[in-house]
Amino acid sequence: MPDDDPDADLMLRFRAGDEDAFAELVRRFQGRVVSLAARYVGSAADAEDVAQEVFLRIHRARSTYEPTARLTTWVHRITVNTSLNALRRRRVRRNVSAEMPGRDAGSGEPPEFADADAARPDEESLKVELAQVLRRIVDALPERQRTALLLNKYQGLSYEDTAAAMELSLPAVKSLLTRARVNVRDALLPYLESGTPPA
Amino acid sequence: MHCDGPPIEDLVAWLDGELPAADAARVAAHVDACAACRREADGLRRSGELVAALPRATPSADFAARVLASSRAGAAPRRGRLLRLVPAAAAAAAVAAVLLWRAVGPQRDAELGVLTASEERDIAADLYLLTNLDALESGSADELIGIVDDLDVLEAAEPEVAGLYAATSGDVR
Repeated sequence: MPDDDPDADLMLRFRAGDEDAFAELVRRFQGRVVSLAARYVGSAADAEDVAQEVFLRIHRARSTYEPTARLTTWVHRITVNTSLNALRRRRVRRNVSAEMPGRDAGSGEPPEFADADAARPDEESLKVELAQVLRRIVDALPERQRTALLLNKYQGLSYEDTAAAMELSLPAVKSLLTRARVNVRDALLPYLESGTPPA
Repeated sequence: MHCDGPPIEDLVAWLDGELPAADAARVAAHVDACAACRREADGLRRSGELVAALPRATPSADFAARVLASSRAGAAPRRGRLLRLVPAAAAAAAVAAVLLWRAVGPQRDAELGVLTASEERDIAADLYLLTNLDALESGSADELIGIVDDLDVLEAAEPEVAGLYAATSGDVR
């Protein structure tokens, strides 16, 4: 077990039957799990569904848990995979709905978490618009670039923890992060210069 | 435009504080002297800062309580509609999945290579879809969506029930 991982201690206590340790683990990780899930599935409500599934998977896996890596990388890996599964299911449902007459396939554009409809000062509106533009850019990245970028910049994981969470080598993650950063910068530049959101 | 200085991967790693000290000093000295690399670094730094500052969803006040309640109950998050409509078909799919796993399991290491959790899950899903071919061909939209929900149930099922999809699965390997 990594020496400096108090989260892994919690999971070991839970494996030994301490349900309070699981409750503490949920409290400790809920914000990060919901937040990351929301970056994939769009809405806070859908993110909570995903997060609930993440914690249930952790709960079910307690007997097989081995602290071979930092707990946070394990939780992030489950969150990413559960979020991607949710996205796949949503795509299947949309395809099914789109082929059935009289059914609404949905707009396909989840709202940003901030309440964009509320009246706001100009500066706040620009922040919301920038977040929406940026979200579209990040969503359009290849899947592994997006995951690496979210784990590293949004969740604050180190390169090493990002690599562990994605089960990739450190050089591979470094390469993914570089391409992601270049792609985001290049896609964002026209908006920052002209103020016109990309189509 | 990037010059002939440090590779762009090192520039990004330097911005992220992920370079060893000696390499970081080398990149810093170059960026200090090279206007093109400074511009490059500024754009890359900004893109990272903006992603880090994206809005964050906050769990609702009762989220933790709901998770704890459902985990105590051992409840799956959702149940598929078709599973309720045709439980026998779903059960048959689960049994077929277990039988296939047992038949293939002993051979797979030697002949097929170890199946990944994702491959095992796909086999279980395919079996379930085969079991519900009639509904797929002629079912209503609700039935089709129910099948998709049931695939979720297979994914979430305990290993001894589904056979092919361990609770730890690809997510935690």
